[in-house]
Amino acid sequence: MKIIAIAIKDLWRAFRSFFALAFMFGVPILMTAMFAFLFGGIGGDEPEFNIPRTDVVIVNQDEGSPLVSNFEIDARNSFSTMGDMLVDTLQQETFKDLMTLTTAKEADARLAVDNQQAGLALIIPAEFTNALIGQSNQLVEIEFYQDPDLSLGPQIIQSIVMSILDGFSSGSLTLDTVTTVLEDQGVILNQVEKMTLLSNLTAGIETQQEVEDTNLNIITPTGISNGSDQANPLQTILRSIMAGMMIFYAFFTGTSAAQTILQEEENGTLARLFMTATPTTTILNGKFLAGFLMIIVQVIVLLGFANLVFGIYWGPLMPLLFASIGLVALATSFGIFVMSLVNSTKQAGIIFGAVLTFTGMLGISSLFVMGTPIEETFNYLPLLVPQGWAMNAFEASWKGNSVQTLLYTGGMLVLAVLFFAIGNARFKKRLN
Amino acid sequence: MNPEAIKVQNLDKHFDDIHAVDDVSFTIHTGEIFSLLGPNGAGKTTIIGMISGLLTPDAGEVWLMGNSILENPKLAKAKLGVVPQEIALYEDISAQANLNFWGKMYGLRGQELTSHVDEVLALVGLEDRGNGTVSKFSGGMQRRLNVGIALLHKPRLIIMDEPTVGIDPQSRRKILDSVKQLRDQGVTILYTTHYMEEAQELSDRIAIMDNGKIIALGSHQELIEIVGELDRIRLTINEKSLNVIRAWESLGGVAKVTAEDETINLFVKDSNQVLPDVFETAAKENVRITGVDIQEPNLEAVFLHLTGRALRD
Repeated sequence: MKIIAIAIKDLWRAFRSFFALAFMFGVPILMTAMFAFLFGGIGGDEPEFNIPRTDVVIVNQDEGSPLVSNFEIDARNSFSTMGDMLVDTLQQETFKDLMTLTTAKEADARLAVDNQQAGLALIIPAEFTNALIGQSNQLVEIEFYQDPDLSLGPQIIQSIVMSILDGFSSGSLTLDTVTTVLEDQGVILNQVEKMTLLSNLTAGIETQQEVEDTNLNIITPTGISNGSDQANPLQTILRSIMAGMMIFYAFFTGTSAAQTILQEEENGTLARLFMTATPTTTILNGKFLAGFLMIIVQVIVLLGFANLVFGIYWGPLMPLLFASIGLVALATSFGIFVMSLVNSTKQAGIIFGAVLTFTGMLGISSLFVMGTPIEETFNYLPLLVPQGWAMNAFEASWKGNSVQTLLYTGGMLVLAVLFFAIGNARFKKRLN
Repeated sequence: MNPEAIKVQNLDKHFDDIHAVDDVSFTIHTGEIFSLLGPNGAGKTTIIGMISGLLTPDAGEVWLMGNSILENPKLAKAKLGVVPQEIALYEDISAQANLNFWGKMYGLRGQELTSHVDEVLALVGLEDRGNGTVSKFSGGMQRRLNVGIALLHKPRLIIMDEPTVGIDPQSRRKILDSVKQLRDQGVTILYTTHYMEEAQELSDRIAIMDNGKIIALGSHQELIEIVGELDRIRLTINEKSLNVIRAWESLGGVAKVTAEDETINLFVKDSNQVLPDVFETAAKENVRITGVDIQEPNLEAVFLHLTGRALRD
């Protein structure tokens, strides 16, 4: 009971503090809102995607395949190569607010980007169709040649192209599966039949893509009402920012909660607690519980707010729950650990100013390298700090990768136990 | 004789090179107000820390209501209320919220907690300010609340460590009245102060401390007898003169003379009788007396007699 009384008292005090509330909720929401306002509206009946249009120069070098001469979607839309189909898809009405398309030769396209007359050159290779229908043995690369000064616009275009290519690839995979099943049943398709089937599958996927991509305009909560992870690029960015801010400031909350041990030591209330026959373990557990509850509230509010206001989809519930529990436990115990290393609230200021900021920035550094060549490195480098484990867990969670989420959550819980054990032991030694 | 409420035996405590408490022993009987009187740094708070279980003695033992604070701290502390010297409150919440929290720490719950909180607020004169945030209270009000918290669980044994330091006369009076009220209810109180008047007014027995040791212990009357119930004439002179001091020492009726710079203390049996001779001697030695203060025997005089220093030095 004393543990609960200590936790409730700390919660009550924290939620009466303007600074605590500002850091728990205000700053993370403000940062995300800033990005939302910068790139799109979050209010109004017809919210618009306000990212400036990107000038895209397409270099379609696709020579098609001798096996398939026609990819037909309907009577009016048929294409001789998949490169043509990709270009046609990008020219749809859906994307007109995002990009202005022109075509050019490769050298001219690159020059246009170099001269900043275009933001991105999309270079479709000659073997594009063959690669997609499995008729090319060589590695075929589609190149995004972009203006290094721009990141968001080209990144969005890249995300759209990748999404369309995923659709094309799944057509190929479906063809393989159908072929295998038919072969098991004794039906052998010839090459022409296979390509006709692929054409139909790809066209079907292309049509479906068009339907799904209507979501791209929607950046309000209604945009994710179907609960799918097909969030538009702005939401994807906002989700990463919100998660990063939430993790960054959850660790501040955990440390701030643990800092009350030092504050109480300096104010004399800790000594008074000992005079009431309250053991050190009870006091530390009460402090841990307070931090734990504070971060739970913080995470629930931020996740919920982001979903309702920014339309952010956080992924399936269970992985999200695991990642959240891991974050709460790790941020709380990390707070106890770092505060056990310092002797006064003055020193604690350094912890807030330097240690938490450094570990926090490193932990969420994947945010700053999105869409850059070093992005992959930052999948693992942040794991050097606890915040990185949390960031990876949330990323895995919204990608719906339950196994990976569980692995990261397990890692977080192990770290949490370790940090709490060390912090607890150090405080006990000091306070006894 | 009432049974022992607190028994302190051969307590000893060092802080690095400082011998803060040096082999201190005393016993406080149930229902008694016992004061530790001494200047700042005498070791009073260190003794309180060891009695309340906050500090571990280097040597010695403490029993509270028969329970050893070292061997059975939980049981010993359960019967104890401590008013710390520093105000130990949560300033950002209300007085009532503070009392509710500390009540829970003392194991109170539900109706019992509510009624005890109301009683304490009334006892310390804060019944109208229960919902007020503590940071907005005056120093005196905070002190009163600081005292009130120690009374929440109605302990039979209360330790008050300089509870009236730095507060207004009204709040001091309120606290002293509360202490008397508790004594009337049979509560045992260990009171530390460097205000001689408080010790004199409240205490059944007083231990005078200096440099970590108890230098005298007894009732007010017993302590006064140590200085032989002498009056003290405190003289301020224009310049220190050994000749005049020797002359005053040889005067009839003068028991002792102490000198601190230009301030001379004469301990005499009857100040009215001695005073004319004192002035006459000063005139003969060409020493001008610029101030005279006559005091009846008190604890200040006892301390001065025992240490050669004033209590507030």
